[in-house]
Amino acid sequence: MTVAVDPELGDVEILDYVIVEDGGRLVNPMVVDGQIYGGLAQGIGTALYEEMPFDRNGQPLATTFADYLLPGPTEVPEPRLDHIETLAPYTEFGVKGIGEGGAIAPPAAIANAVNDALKGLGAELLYSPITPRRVLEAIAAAKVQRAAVVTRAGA
Amino acid sequence: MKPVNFAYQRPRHFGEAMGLLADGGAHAKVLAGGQSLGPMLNLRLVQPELIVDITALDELKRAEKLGDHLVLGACVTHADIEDGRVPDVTNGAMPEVAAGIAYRAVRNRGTIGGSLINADPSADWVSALSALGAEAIVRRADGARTLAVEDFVTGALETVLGANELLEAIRVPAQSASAQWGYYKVCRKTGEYAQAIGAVLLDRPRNVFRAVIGATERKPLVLADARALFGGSDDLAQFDRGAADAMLQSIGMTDALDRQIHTVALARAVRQAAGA
Amino acid sequence: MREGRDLTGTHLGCEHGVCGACTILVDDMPVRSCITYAVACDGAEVVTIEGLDDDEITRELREAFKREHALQCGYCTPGMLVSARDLVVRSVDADEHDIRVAMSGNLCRCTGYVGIIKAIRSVIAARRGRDIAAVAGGGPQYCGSRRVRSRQRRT
Repeated sequence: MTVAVDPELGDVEILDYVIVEDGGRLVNPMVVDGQIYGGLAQGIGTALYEEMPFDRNGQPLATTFADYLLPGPTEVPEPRLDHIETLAPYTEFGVKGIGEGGAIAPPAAIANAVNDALKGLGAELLYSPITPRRVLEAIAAAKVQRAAVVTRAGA
Repeated sequence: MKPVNFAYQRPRHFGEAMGLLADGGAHAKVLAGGQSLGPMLNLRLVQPELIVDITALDELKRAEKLGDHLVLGACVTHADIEDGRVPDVTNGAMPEVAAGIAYRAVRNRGTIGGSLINADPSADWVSALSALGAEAIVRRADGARTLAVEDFVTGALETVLGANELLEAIRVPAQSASAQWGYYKVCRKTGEYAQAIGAVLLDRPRNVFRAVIGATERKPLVLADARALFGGSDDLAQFDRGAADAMLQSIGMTDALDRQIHTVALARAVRQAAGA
Repeated sequence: MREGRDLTGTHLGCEHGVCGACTILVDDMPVRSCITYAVACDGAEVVTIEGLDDDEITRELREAFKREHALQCGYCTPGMLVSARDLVVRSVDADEHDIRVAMSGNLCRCTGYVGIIKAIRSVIAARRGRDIAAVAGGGPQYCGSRRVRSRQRRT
């Protein structure tokens, strides 16, 4: 997949997303596609938007949709989607479950893409959701680290 | 997620509305489009005894050019402005700002007056109207007063509106055809409240050069004379990020990354204005 | 609507104006019924999803939604149809991005929006292809959020 990261504001935009899934024999391909699209949306939520923080007293801090951000039509692109049908040897008709796969991959795929985009700045994120704030903090931290290295090298 | 019980009145005359509000005192709330008040009621952030619905007051729906100003009643909706049902004197700036507010269903009922009175620091009109040099016309039983929007809004969710006053209308000065305008909103997703807003208006024939940094969690930073951010000039190419950063520090924004996104918002608004 | 009139097509979602599941038409405009008091609609024409059973545009949208698998659980669907209908009426030359922006006030957790956007695009294209022009500039013919006289169509 391809992302664009705005280094001044920390925004992450998904430019291209390719999914290839293997569900064994696809009984209803339209429903399979729908599950993958929906799973992608949930995965994008996990990767970039949704967070349920609590304060020190255990009070939830995201109690409305103003704080808990759900991906809408402008946050979820249409992916390029393809299928491999490797028949499962243990099931009738060779079917496999496909309900979970869509949501599991995006946090890892997106985080890896973001880190690839930021590697020139030495910044890395290992925490989701990857909010603009966390991107800026990672870039700022990398800058400090580089400055420290330069200082040590010069000393 | 349901509001408390309340009484509801929908007066047809201004005097009637003022009377109801005077009687209700602190226990009465004004309802216009309900797009800000509605969620607050449902979340029980406010628990009034009386709601006074002002959407039947014709005085609050006017939309007319008076001399070199546009006067918009407080109950004109964002959709009215977006769709061009009301005149525009800002070369399309106001319709564009309106179109970016929340979602269409919200814009169909949300009002420009309601937005200003709610004075959410992240609201579009609070920053945009300040940048446009607009004024608020406040009416009470015995008269009216006019003040600059940046003086009307005094803080986060705070205005100068007194207990027996209603916001009647907004006055927007007409822009020259050559005016340059930029407006940039930093948002996590479409329709959500802004994290940072930058706005700039350079209208040389009228000797106007204004800049605003909004969504600062307090009243917006408004420069009626923006030259201090451009090395003393009115050259948009001379935007000084350091000066903007210093100003944000002086209003109490202690977090450097916060200052960064607000400075970038204004820088991008300036770039838009320069490109126009 | 739901309890007094048994019109259960309109759904309760967030009850603070963000998710769009409650969207209905008041005086021909989509509004959030969760923050619109019935008493404030005195004299207005209120149309719920049930009232669009015989509506030509909504019929086309329903066909398109079925064809494009634009609904799975169906919870967001009435709100989606009401908002989509308004877009079909008013949209002059909306491209995919414009449609996504216009529909961003309706959240869906199941479909990832792919089928929904395709369905809406296809209905707009089909209607423009049959020379049904958009009502540019919006549906309402009056200023302010409430009309006080009977509807006047722009001819």
